[in-house]
Amino acid sequence: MTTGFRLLAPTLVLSAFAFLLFGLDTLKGRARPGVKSAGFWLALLGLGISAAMISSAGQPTPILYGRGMLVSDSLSFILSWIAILTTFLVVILSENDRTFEELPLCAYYGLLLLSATGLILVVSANDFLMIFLSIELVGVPGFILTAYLRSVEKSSEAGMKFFLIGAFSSAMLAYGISILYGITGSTSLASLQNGMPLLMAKAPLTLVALFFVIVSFGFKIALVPFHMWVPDAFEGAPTPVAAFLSVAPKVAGAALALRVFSLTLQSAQLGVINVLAILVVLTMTVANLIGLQQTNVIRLLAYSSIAHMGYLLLGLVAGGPAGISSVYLYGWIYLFMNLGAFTVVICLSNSLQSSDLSAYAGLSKRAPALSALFLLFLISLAGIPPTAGFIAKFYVLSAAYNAGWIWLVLIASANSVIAVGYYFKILHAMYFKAPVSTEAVPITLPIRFVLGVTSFVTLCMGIAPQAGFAMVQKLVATPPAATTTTPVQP
Amino acid sequence: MGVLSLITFLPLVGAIALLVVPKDKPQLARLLAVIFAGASFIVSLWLWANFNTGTSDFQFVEKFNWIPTFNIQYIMGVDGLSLVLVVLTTLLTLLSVIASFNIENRVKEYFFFFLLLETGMIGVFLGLDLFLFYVFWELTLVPMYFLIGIWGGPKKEYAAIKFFLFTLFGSVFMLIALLALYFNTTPHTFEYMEILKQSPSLAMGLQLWIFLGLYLGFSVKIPAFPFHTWLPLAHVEAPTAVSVILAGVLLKMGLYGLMRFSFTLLPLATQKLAYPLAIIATINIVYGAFCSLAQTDIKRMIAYSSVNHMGYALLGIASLNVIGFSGAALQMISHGIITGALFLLVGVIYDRAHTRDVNAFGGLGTKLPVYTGIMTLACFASLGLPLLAGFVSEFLCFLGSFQVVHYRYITLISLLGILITAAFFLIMIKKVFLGTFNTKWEKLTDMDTRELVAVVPLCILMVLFGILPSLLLSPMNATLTHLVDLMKLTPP
Repeated sequence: MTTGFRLLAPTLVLSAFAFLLFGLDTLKGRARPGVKSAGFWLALLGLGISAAMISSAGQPTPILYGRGMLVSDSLSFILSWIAILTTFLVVILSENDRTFEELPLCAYYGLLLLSATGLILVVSANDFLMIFLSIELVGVPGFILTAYLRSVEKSSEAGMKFFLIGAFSSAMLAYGISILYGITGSTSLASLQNGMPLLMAKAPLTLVALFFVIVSFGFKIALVPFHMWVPDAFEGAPTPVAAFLSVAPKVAGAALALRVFSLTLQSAQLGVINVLAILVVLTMTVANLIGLQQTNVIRLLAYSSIAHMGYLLLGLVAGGPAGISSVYLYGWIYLFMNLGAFTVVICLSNSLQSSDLSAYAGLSKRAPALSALFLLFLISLAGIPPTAGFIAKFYVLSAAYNAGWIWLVLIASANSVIAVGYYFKILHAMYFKAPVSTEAVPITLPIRFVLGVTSFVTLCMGIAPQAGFAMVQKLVATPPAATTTTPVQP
Repeated sequence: MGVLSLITFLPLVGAIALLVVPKDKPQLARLLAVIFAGASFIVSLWLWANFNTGTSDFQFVEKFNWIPTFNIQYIMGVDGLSLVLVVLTTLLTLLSVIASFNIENRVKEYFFFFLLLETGMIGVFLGLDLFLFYVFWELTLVPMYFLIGIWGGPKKEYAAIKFFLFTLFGSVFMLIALLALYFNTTPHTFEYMEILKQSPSLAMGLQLWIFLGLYLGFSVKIPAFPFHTWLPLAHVEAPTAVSVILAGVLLKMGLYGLMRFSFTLLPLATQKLAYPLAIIATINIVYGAFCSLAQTDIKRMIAYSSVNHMGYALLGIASLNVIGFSGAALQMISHGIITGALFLLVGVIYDRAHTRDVNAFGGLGTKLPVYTGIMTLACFASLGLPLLAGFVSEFLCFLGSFQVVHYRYITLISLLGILITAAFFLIMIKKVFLGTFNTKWEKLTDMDTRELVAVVPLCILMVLFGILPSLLLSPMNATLTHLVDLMKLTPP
């Protein structure tokens, strides 16, 4: 029982701090700078305590807790870290952001913390009911955060779209779950795994159920053709929120897909793996091709984040220890390089008042350091050495190659050439165009901090990646939870 | 830290040092660039002096376990072939840095990218782990993109991205081929010497696929027909010194890759594909020469002549014998020197006249005697006049390929290239330097000291290597013989 509470502690702390922040938000002087910064530090404190509790849990050995609803294993361990770190950096980014100038921020921080709670539960869920609930816990704060700029029409529109899509895909998930429950008589992932013969026997119905689950996950992770909401939501949302949405929920969704389709189900036998492979190809190719047409940097990064989910799922399709650890490493590296790119955009849009490509003209003269960092993040996103992005891509490709998915590797490689086409559009504007003004771009302290952390990791993991490889391989060496749990009778 | 790492990373240290130079001190930036490029050159000369020419083994080997999880090593080593290419790289970079002193726009950034590029290029020739090689290979891309795109001519931006996408397209397939090599060795490794023990006995089909993947990467760089279309654009749009590096060093990376990796690691596929390679070489030679003949822009003409000259070298290596290999290796060096000089010389006239159209000039010989003399020398060297560097290398390439019985006809066709090359250079000389003087160019001045310092060393080398090719051949001989022997290995 105590173990269960110890493992639940990170989420309990986070939600406690979230409600504390909501309480602060009811104060009269909630828009005052003093209260705002109190909220800021409270949010960071909550995240810090939670992170300390996760790391004190130590090297994860698979443990079931919360009446078998939740599991603590290597997957939940590393993804919880990704969720906490993303939230931590996004909270820092939101401080001093011009878009929030007039607004009270305590509730905003509270919602971020609540969303992080949901993320930790998503990646620890071992039961479809828990999966459903935790996805909602990530989603609902997400809708509100997207629409947080009440007076901005685009923000409300984005929130509305995001909400409708979210509700729709949750309904799909519920439908898929109910069919699976009908077949196996349980919503637990463990029983799903043990019920494989049953699932195989009812193959057509199972496939219908899994179809709904895949579609629902597809919306959450934003795989093509379920990706349409992403560019609109990112463009309308406050940019720090877009940065948050581009990393944590997507990576967590991919991790969930990994748990369900790689660790629990024998997807290859069910033929689901081919569906996933096709989704990977579609996601990368379509996102990259549409990305080529974009002229707004945030939309461009939105399509880039869609394409990156394709790469991430390549590791899932590859499967096996190498595939799983490549997903971990990709998620980890993607967190830093993508958040870094968004940080540059946030810093720039604060002084440029625009995220259109034309506003980026000649930035290398106005803001040489920012431009150089953006260069680093973009070539990392493009997967060019010596950056972390290359290491991540190399790991995923080698896992897929070794698993025999050579045609997928070929398409993924060709895609990385297409992606360069649009990443370099930004570089083109920054370095080759004449500047529109000579005004310098100020970089605030919080942004300096985030840029320092993200660029350090992006460069170091590119030059000396051994630490990263060692970390994920050590995690994968402990057996994944779903295979070690005791059978549950239907 | 060994001497090879020192040569490779000195320019990188210089590049980082440049970052802290204040923007308003371009003179300091230039000085730093010369110091670090010069230091790297001097250390590479020391390497040559201490190089043991009697053996084909890798020397000055450095080894360090870089990424143990993937069994990726940091291994640097030098043999005869990489030795001369490294010295060529450091020499041309130093001279190009000197020739770039007239760059006034964003000086600091320019030299930063230039030195970064040098690190990548040297690393390519010294890296003996395929992963390391790939990292260095890609490291040359980004600096080159900016060097063309920021400081280039009117169509620089298009030229830069075209260069980038073409090369990247080739290199992603190269990466897959490297993965294939990695997963087909036990224990899995990227180390060249280890793969060399195992890969020659891979099945024919697999060898062909891997060869094709590697070839896509290398042929874009050579550039071999039909992947050559980025080259004229990039060469013409790039600033003078960058064209020198592009033609002088970057094109050699492709041929080096073929000789070092594709041929030795995949001997079965090589023997099967040598003839198609020779045909591609012939197309390069004849088609490149005809394209040159059609140009009126001098820089464009020289750019296409690179396609033609790389064709000779490709023909040489496709003959798979020691003479052909020697010819090709020599051609890589002499083309680097000669075309480097030619691009510098075109830069000289373009800086003054702001045109490169052959028909715009006439009778410059009387007005610019020094320039005319040097330019004529470089042209003659390029068209293969005996006693100059180009002749020996082209002769050896043809001699090598003529020895292969079924190459005789294509060798004969290729000889046509020599004739056309002579034609377009002589026509250019006639139109620009001879005839009646075009009075429009009354105010042209002859070469200044900076330009002479950059070009004269190259001219001396042209003559020197033309008379004494053994200076280059003797350090390479053991290595080239060994490379050819490796290809003869047949699996048990």
